[in-house]
Amino acid sequence: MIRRLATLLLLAGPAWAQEETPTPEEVDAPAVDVPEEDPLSAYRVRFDILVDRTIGTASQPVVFNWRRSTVHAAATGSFLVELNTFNSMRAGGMVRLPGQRSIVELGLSWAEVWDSQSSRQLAYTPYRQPGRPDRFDLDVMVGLPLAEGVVTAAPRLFPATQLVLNGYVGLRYGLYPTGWGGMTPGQVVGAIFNPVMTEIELDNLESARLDAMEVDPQRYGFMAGLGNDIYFEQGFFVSPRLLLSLPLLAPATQTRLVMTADASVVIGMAF
Amino acid sequence: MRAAALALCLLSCGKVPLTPVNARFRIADAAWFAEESTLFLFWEVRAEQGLGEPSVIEIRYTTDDARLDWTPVDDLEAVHVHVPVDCGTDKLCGSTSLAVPLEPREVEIRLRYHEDGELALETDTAFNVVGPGAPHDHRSLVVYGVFDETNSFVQWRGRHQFPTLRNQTATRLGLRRAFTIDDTTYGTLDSDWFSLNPYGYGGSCPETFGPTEMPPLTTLARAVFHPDEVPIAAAGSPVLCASATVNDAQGEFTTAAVARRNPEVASAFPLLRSPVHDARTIPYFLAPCDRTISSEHEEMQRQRLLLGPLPTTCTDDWQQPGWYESLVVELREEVERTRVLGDDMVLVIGLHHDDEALADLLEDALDAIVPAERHRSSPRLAGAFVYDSTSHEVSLDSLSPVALWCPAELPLAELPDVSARSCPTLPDEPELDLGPLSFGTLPVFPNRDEYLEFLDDFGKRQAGEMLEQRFRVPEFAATSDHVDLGDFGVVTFLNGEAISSDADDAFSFCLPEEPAPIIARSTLMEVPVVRDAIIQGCRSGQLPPGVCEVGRTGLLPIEALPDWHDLAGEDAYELGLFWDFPFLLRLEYEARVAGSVTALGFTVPFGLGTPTETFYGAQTWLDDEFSLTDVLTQCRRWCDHPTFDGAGVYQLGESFWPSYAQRCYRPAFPQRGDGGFPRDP
Repeated sequence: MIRRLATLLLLAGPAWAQEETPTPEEVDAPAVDVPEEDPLSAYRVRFDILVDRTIGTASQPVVFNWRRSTVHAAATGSFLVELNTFNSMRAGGMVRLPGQRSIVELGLSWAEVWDSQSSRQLAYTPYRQPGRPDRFDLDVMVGLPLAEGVVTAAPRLFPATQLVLNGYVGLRYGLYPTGWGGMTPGQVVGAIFNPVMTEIELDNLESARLDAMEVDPQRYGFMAGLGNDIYFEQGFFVSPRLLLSLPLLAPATQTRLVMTADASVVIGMAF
Repeated sequence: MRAAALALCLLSCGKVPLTPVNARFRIADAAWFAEESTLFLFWEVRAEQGLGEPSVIEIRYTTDDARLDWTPVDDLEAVHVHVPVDCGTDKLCGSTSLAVPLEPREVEIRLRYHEDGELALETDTAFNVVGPGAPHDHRSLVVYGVFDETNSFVQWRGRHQFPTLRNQTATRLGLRRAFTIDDTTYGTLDSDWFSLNPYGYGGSCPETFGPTEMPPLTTLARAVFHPDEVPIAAAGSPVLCASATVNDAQGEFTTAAVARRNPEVASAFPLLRSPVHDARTIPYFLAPCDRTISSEHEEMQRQRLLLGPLPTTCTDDWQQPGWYESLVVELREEVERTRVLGDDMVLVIGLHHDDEALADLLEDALDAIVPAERHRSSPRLAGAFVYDSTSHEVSLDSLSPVALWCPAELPLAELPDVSARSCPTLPDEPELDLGPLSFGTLPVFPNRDEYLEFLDDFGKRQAGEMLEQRFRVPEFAATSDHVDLGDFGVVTFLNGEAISSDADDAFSFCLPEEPAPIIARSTLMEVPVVRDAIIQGCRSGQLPPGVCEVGRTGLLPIEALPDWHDLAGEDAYELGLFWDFPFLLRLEYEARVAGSVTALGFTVPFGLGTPTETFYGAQTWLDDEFSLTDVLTQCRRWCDHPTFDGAGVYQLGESFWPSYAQRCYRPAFPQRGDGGFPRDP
């Protein structure tokens, strides 16, 4: 898990790499006048350089301070790029809870799945392909700000905005409306925590699947990705993002649908 | 790190593969019935990923005048009702029936994966032709009737008959057949009607049958109870016969359907009751008065027998002439004095002595009194119980069946047989020593050596205590008749209990969990010529083993009664009770696990007491009634009719007799309201 997170953060490497790389001023700065025998000389940095390094945390928001908002309410829409022949889109709502170092997101979306030309052709054959029927997706995500600042919008007609680059990690839980039909309360409780859907649930979903679809048994999976939060002065924000379903839980969920890309847009208001 | 991420992507980023559904036919059967001009088709397809609604079954066939190319079954009109069937998510199954006047050939069934697709799964179809013939074996449906437990409501049933499919499978695959019952009549049919036609389907009802006036009945289910009770006028008739109408591609077909009554079965003799009471004890304590053998042992013997301050019958002069005779007279007179109280009696004697010859003398005295009372009616002296000072075994054959003598030294091999009639000194109760700790137990009736040794080790307080003793004795009526079987025991016919029967009755014996000590006898069993014939028959192996007992004793174990009645067909059987000892001694005492700790030359005893109950004698007298309700059942009428088994299946080939002669008869009859699709494989 830690290695994979580190892999993700590598993608955000440039944001931090700038901090590691000496600035031109740093390179050209005259050497500090210290005695040659001073053992701390290799660790000494000039005051103006230190100020420049911490300026991002010492004086963060200029246009909108999202950390001081209480809650965000937003609508989401996304297109799922699965590695099969079925089409899927999602639409739903989201609640975001800001913190000083992160932002927690709780989302509920309806995922609509429909046939493509390919899957319609596939249904004529004695072959099936893993997929997921219509469902609710329950998301629990954590956003970690990687870089942020005030940016100028184009065209200049728009005011300056607050831009935050977030890394996202979290779980996506699939809720199938007809999946628990005919199950006892005890079986439902057991199924909720089971990473794999039970035989009863799979049987119940037979009528909900598309003709060429073999129902994928995964109940929940791990998501990670990147996205930008663009805040306007009044608290209105737009957040395009790209998430990937990583196969970290695949051995437990027995899924064959991995590396699904979720390209989504979140539009909402911070309060 | 980047390499790992690249490897992860290479493993996971490929397109999701396609997987074959692996569909295959489990059933693809077709049958054409010439008598009905109907072609039946059945199918069941299984696939791993399931088959959706777009999947369709198609059929084709050829006749001499037409050819049907591949056609979805839903596009063809069915002769009968075929309901949609849900066989599960991974199956597709169903059935249809087509009007095909001429015999078809090349009948085939296939699965088209999608109604708009071109791909199909073909299979070898099992096709049979049923030619013209009798209705009971040349038509696809047989109609018959059964009765409920009371034999007063009739359930009419349809049964599918296909060459390759069972009745319930045809139902499961969606086939429903309508049939109508009308003109129900009653009467008697001889067994020839059913010899080659077990359901009796076909033909026409005899004109001699009387009408029941029961209204017509139509159903689409496989079974339906007629809502009206069979009229009382038909109550004694073994058979109902009705007109059964079914439809097919040719139209309607009407023929006779028959319902046979269930065998009329009841418990042969529900309860054999033998009152058992607590006997009145006649206590004696025989011991020397002029000397002391062991006061501790005498005290323990008195406590064990709960004699209290009973005066001692002195044995100082037991070797003198006349002592024995006076003891016999004393005992006999005491028995007679107690008899006037009206209770059965048991002599309870404590024998405290140090000369084994005195025990033998007491045996002789008891032998002069007790055996003679054995077969008397109540009030009587049922037996004797002696608690001896030393281990002793009764040596008189006439006394051993009526006297319980404790303690006794018995060979281990005999323990299981006779330990209930004596108090064996078990050799396998040694003390257990664990370092300074030692443990031991004392039998309820120890001999003197055992007791005194125990006292030395653990003390008197750990010896246990008798709390209660009761002698349970059966009450014999004045009409009781006893048949003595010597060492085996006695069979007592208590009070004329008997089973009445007709020659055409039949019995069923069901082996109970606890063996029933019930014996039967009849007039014929006591005839010497018959007994000799039985002995001869058994020697040649022609008779069942249970019946052979009659030849030796004139008595019949109850389990052999079904076979005997089949042979002899007698009109009455007297029931008796077998027993091997005249009373049951029931003891309640406090048994103690005694222990002692020895350290530094001091020994401290301790013990743990538990209330214990023990029985000696015949456990037959634990209960005063013996239920035969489920053990012996008697069929009074229609014993050769088929009947239901415990699973509710109408077993056409198993009539009450002889199928249930030695099997438990636990039929599960159909009940009104239990659904229209009974278990009928």
